[in-house]
Amino acid sequence: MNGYMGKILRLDLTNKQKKTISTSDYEEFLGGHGIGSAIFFDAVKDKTISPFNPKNVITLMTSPLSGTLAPSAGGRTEVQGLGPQPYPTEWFTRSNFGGRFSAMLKYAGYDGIVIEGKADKPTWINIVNEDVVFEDADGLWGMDTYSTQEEIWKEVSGNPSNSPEDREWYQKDRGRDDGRTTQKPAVVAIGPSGEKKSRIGALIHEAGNAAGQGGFGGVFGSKNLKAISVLGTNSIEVADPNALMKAREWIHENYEYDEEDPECEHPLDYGSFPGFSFITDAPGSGMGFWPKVEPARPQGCLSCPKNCRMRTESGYGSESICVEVVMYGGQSPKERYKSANLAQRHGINVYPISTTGHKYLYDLYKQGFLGENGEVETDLPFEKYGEMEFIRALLNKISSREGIGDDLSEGVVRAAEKWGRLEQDLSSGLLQRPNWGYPQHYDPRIEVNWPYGSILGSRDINEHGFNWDIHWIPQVSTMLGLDPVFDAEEVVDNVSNAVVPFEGNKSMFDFGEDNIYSKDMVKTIAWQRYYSRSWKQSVQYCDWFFPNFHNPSNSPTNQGFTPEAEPKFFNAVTGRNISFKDGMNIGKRIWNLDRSIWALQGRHRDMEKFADYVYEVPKKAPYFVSSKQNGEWKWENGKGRTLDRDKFESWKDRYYEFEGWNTETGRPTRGNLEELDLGYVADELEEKDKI
Amino acid sequence: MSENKLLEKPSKEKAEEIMREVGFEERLEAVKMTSMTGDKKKSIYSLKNLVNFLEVNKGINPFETNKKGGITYIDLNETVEWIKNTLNDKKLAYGIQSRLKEDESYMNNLNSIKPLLDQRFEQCKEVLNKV
Amino acid sequence: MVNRRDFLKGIAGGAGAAVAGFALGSSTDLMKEVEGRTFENLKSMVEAPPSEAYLLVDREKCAGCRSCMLACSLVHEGKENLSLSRIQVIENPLAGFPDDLVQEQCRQCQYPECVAACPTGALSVDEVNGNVRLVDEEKCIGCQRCIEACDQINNPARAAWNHEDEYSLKCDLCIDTPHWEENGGPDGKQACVEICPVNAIKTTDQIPVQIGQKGYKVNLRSSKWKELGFPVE
Repeated sequence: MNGYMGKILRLDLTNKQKKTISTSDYEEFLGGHGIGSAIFFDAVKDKTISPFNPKNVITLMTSPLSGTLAPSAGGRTEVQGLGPQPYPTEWFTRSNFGGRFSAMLKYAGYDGIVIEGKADKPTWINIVNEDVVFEDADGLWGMDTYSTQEEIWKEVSGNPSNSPEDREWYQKDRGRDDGRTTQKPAVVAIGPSGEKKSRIGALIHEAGNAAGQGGFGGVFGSKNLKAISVLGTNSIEVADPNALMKAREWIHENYEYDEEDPECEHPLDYGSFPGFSFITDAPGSGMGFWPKVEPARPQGCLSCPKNCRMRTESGYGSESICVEVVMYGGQSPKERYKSANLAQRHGINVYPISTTGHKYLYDLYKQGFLGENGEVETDLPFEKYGEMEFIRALLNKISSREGIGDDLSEGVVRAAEKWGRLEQDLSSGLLQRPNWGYPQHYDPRIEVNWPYGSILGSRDINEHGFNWDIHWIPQVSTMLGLDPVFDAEEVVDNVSNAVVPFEGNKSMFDFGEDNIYSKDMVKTIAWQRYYSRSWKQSVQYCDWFFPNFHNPSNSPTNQGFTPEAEPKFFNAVTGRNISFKDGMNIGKRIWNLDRSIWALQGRHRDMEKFADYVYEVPKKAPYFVSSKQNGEWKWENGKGRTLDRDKFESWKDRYYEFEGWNTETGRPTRGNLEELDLGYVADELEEKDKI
Repeated sequence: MSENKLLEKPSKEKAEEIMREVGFEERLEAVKMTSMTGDKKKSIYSLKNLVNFLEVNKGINPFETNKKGGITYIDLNETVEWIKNTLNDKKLAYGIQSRLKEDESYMNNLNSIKPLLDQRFEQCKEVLNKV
Repeated sequence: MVNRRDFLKGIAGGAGAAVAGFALGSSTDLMKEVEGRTFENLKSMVEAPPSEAYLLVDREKCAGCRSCMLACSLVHEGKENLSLSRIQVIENPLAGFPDDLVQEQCRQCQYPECVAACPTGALSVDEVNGNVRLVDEEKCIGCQRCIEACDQINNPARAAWNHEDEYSLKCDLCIDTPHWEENGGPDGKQACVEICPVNAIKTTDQIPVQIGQKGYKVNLRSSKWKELGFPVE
């Protein structure tokens, strides 16, 4: 089918074997996450093994839209497998990274890579079109992720730099029949941290694309796999090129920022505050206030109309966005971005050591628990906390597993457990890890779509779709003392208009103290789970661009492009004719497949509970969400709230019932799986006594 | 009006007290809010921490230049109490308190107290020869 | 429209002045070569009428998303392939701004080496369509001499090779886009220009200075770009 390359590469590192799987066997799962889950389910017979067991299978999957003009979907890669980061169970989990790796993989002729086994010595994989070679990585082992990429660029195409003489068409010797390219191979690599099997080891691609959460860098390390390089020159067939081009023009004209008249990017008097951090926000917006410091350009993943990252003159902070650039306060923006680069070079997952991580360590130092004379001895230079010296030392220790770094390389939560601190610090909230040991993101006591989705899954969901509209924009304007930029009712109208197949149900977006336990909130969570599993993680539209509910570029109603855009691009590329709702149904199927894999790993409803502080420690700061009070929609302040333990348990009943799961165990049932054409999954659950 | 006239210079002993790093139990809890990472708690252990957190000493309006950096949130009343009782700087605390207005936005209140915080921090550094 | 007078003005910069001299017949025996080209070669080429439009790019504005390349490949070939794009964006993500990126587009040269090198007339100046230097895919025999000729003066060659259908590709300013319903060409739309999210590609009907890069790599940043926090100088 158009959009797919037709085969998936299956590499066995133990036996140095290369096989291909036919993509058509899995196309019903769309791409990305769906195909990854389905392959994992088939390939890993015993799902209770350790992530570091050579039998763990890691998938790197593209989408039918990878490598095409579909906005924001052209360059993302979905990574899945058993992950060492989730706590206490090492769930089957996922991560994703941007850039252009998935596009290059498709140009090389593959829809994905499935990795199993363990190489007997350090290895990297060199893919140039149909040539797939297991290369010796002895010379690369120990190198940081940047040097590794530069060495591989040199090896594959001979163009490590961008100097005029290096701007060439490569592969010319084979180019007459096989094609040539000016592009460097796309490399995904681990740093020293992953080599040492860290549970917070990341996969890094180019300067700042990282698959961090999950700990797949550590899994690569356990497999002696240093890097994968891909270079390709094949074409992706597109069913309706004109429709694809016209659809992109439609986005460009109606929904993108307008750099020539950036009015929409400055809706507030205070400059381009992150009120519109999704689509109308300014290019380069993901990186903070860097342009004031040194010259830079906005930079985007392949085919992105938003271009949220930057590249800077010094290179510090290049392509880093989001948590990397706020990881460490530092004394200046420059130090902030230097810290980001250090983490990318080491190949460390930034989230677990960012503010909730190093702040926790410093709090423990202040308590006299950590330090030179502490209960846990360490020579971390706490007296330099806030300065570069501290973060440099911390990252070095984690990366090398030296001293306290050996504990921290297991992640802060496992370190705290080893130190006997975990229970008390999760209870007091000194350590803010509400679900599966992952750092708190948006507030679990108030904006419940975030934590509910996370606890029903395997990780912090990191899905901002509802968040911008129902929390962040009003949060900013209220803190600024402005009238809300948008009226709560207008926003809720636009969001609820778009949430097919539950459209029109405005109560789904009432985050009032009672309604967060309602059956409406069941639908909110279900919608987000299905949407994420299909359109976001399988078709791989970027979280910072999709979904789009409320868009001030599109006057007069400000209605965003969801649910129109999602199938528009998918159908133009693939030639299928699926509706948005069809996609949601596939998302539901994938969500249930994941849920079944977790059941096979032993998931039970009793495990789906938050850390104690979520129930016991009231929210201290103002936190605004949409809510209907006395018949009127408004932005309500959730300050002072905790989550009610019993009410949340009842909400779980309602959610499990809605899905057709067993309310006692929280596991899928044969009936509900067969309805989703997952009878074979039910068979395995039955066989393992997990249904 | 010159901001230097707002508060008298502290003595060396007083400046040392104001500038000291307090213990774990005496910390002030702050929250950094950003679009990307949500709310993150921060621990404030000293006047220097506070000034750095609010970025007042860089002349940065956290809502303007720090445009994507997010909102640096402290509970203003709690901060007054902390300065008064924990740092034991009554003058600064009263100065701040007198500038806070109940029906003003967080931002306007914060902006109104920032010059005072900045001045106090600079004064103490000067007295302690740390400029 | 660019008339002949504009054309002469356009090339009358730097070494271009000497070339213009040749065109007007006031040659000097001392001048054996200009820009690596022989007099005879130049004389034959200069007779090509100038293209009525040119692509200009701004290297410091480009965001590296390669949407232009994907659009180019899509509207012309009906497929997605960076190797089949007639505009190339080349990145070194680990280098510092602005050395991390270059955009390399066809220059619609005043003295088109590619046209001169073509042995079959497949690559010609299309006088019906604004004098764009155009490949007739039917006539192209795949000898790649146009690519080699371009490669002599440009890194990388702006003419590309379609290895799947075995013909040369070069920018036609979207005159011939069988997979896009818009009308292209000097007076029409260009896919790359239409799709660039930061407006880092434009067309002009003024002939760019031919010598060096400056005529083609220009500053397309307005004061609005500065408002967004990026350098405009």
